[in-house]
Amino acid sequence: MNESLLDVNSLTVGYRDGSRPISILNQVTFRIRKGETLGIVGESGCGKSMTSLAVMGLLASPLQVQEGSIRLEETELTGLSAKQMNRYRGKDLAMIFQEPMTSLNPVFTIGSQIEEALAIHLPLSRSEVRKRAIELLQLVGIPSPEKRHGDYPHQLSGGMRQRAMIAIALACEPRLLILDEPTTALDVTIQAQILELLASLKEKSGMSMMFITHDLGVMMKMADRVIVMYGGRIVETAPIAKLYEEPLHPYTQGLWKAIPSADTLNQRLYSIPGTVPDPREETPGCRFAGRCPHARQECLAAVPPLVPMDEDRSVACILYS
Amino acid sequence: MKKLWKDPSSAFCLSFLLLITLLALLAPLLTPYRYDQIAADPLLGASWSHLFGTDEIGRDIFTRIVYAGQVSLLVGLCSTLIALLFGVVLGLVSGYYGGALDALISRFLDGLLAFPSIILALAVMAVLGPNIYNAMLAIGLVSVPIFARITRGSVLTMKSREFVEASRSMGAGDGRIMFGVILPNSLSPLLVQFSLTFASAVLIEAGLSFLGLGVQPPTPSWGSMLNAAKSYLTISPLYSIVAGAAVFLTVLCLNLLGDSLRDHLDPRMNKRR
Amino acid sequence: MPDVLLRAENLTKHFPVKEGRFGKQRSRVHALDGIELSVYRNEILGIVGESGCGKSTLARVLLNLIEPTAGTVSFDGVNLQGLTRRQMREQRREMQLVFQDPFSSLDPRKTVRSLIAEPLDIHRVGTPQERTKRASELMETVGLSRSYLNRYPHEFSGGQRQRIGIARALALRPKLIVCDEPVSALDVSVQAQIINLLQDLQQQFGLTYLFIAHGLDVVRHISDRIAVMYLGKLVEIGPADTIFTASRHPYTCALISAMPKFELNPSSNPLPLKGEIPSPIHPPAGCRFHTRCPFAQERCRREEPALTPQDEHHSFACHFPLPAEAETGVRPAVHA
Repeated sequence: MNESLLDVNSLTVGYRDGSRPISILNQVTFRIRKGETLGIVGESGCGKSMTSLAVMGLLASPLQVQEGSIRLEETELTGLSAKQMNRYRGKDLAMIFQEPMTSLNPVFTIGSQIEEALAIHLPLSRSEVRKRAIELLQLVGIPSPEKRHGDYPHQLSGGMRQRAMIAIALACEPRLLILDEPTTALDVTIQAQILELLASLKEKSGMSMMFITHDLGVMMKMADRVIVMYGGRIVETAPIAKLYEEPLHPYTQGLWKAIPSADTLNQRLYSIPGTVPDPREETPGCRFAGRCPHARQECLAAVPPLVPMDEDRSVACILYS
Repeated sequence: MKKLWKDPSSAFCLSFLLLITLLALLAPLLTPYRYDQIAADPLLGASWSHLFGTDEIGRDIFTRIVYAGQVSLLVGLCSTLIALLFGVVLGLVSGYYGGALDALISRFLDGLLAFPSIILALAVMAVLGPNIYNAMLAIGLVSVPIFARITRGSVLTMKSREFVEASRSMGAGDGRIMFGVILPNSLSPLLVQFSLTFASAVLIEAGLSFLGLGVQPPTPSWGSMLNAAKSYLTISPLYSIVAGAAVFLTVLCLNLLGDSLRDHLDPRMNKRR
Repeated sequence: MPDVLLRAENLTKHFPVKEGRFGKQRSRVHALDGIELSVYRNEILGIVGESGCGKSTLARVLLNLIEPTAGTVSFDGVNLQGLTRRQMREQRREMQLVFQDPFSSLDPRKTVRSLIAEPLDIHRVGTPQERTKRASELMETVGLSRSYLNRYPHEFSGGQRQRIGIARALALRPKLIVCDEPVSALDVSVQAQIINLLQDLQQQFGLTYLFIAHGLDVVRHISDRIAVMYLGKLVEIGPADTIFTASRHPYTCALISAMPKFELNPSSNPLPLKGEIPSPIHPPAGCRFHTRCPFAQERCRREEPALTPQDEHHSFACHFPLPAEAETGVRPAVHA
């Protein structure tokens, strides 16, 4: 359980504007243990999706890894060619996106899309592939899988499409499943079904998950450990219970207080002043300083490093160093 | 606009069009002759006093080319404006109100589009009689459907946009929504089409004049000059070349300009760069 | 009796759609079916439901942006369906709409000044100078700097744009503002700012809100009363607290228990719903929820339950409602 599956070290991602390198993701370091679900939370533009794309090797030009390493067990992924990367993508690493309609190919049946995923990586005969595809559809809770096997994506509802996406992702029993806001486009009752399904699939297979969400309720349900990101950096990381009970970083604290709940009824909500910073604007100090109630002069001078507080939690704030 | 000047091809087109326009506007200052003045012997070659030579009855070709530019550009501009005006109104109305009105207008436009444009223009001219104003009307009519279709298309996409609904929820009337909200947001494709239609209007005008149904002599026009020149192709090739080049370059530049306008105004094209 | 500002009676909206090859079959989307609803003056009425439940259509029909197929809406005693177009345009001064997406609801070609002053321009209120002055006052009211007056929407963040949208809705000093998912597109930290702003403005100007959202925690926080919709029907309406802690309709209960909660070791969902939301083109006969309801019986398939008042404030439409006493979380267990 304590063994690392994915080790990301000082990952910096960005693009070049003329001769000037611009970094959107800065010095991101984390690891995912075997069988663990790592939640990544943060607001739009914080870099959480970019982190997942970097791990999958799916950064679109002009974005590129400028620094750092991504290791899947013994394999360094950052230097791999597209061809080499394809051996891992879909097999060891799989990803599920927010909008299933745009990530499924509209002109192929869902059955054939699952079969394609299987056939690329596994040496199976055609009848075995078909049998396995139907098993997968059954596994993700699609009713009458033999019939649905021949359906096109547009014939399925949003929830069913996301189930089909999950079936494709699970086709080769990946070791790490990356989920980028997998339920954001779904209705609440359908979201509950999909989260339930994901939790039970994880229990059965023992795979690791990287679960990206902006919904803190979803995060509480899914994650073992959480990374909080802000402005392209990790500001805090901790096991879910510790983070929930005692958030350390002022941003996490603010986020926690901003959620309406039964306790905040008839009260004004706490709100973090200001807006999320533009990732392209480089500031020398802490990205959160402009909105932070504890900001001091030093905060503007240098970026606070991510400092370990105890064995499994770290925080990047001047208050704790 | 600044971006257009940075792109070499569109900068060339803009400069050429500007040059042609200036020549046409300043024609009386640029040449000592009148366009209907017999200034020398017929069919002379190029010389300093007659830059492009003289025509079949001894009029200065350069003079006639720049004066013809006045006619061609004016007919092109006015007919495109006519087409724009009617096309936009028809497109707005049919796209915005939809239903039977839309069906009626669309079928009418389909009918117009079913004729080859030059034939339609010829027919209209034959009915109305050849003169410069009727030429503008005929050529304008031919180009109405394309503007109407473009406008209707963008009205249909704009109509479902939230900011249009927002205006409606504030109590804006139909006219305000059509002209104050939808139209300003549909300008870019119309601007592109304006340039392309201008080009085809110049071409159609040349065609009509070539067939003798456009501007009537002695007023010069590039089309009628080409018609006259074709009889003397072997004796005085420069005559044909100059008249042809005037039409060709103007139309080419307007088309190229339309293309680069589209590239600059279409945000999707910008992203791909 | 509280003072009713907006009253909907038997409000029904069906959209025609073409189905099948060549659009031969003509069917109807049952977006709204027989909605009875009162909005009281100075209250915030929340409306929740999943996609296809008709909540956005309801907002637009209540504002008469869409003509209802049947039924009437009366606003401050005026029957909106009886008005001429001109009278209706005049009536719109009193009722404004705030949109979900602050990116698409602002005309990208207009400056902030003309966006906020647009309602004033439309209704020709005051001189152009006065309108500009009012626009800059409104900027301040919603917490934006007056110096932004000549900027364009794309220069603002989502939260700031939503403030512009709110300022625009306030310009004519309306009585009612319909907020169609006003914070759904915003980040959590910005969402709280907008909710606070909306609450402050309601106090300050004595406004009435119809607040549509799918984020239940937000609706609970802001609403005085909540109406729950399912497939074009109103299934339950009552005080916010009652809906969250003592709902009687199984759908309300399931919806609330499906909401991911920000708490440690969230208890597993006590009332998980199976299956998908049926198509509003062919809604189920009888109670529309019976296909997914764990307690459905024969009667539910045949007979449609009417919205019946439980007490003065709380009504629901169910043949076999959940018992009133126990907590929402444990009630399904009681039933089983």
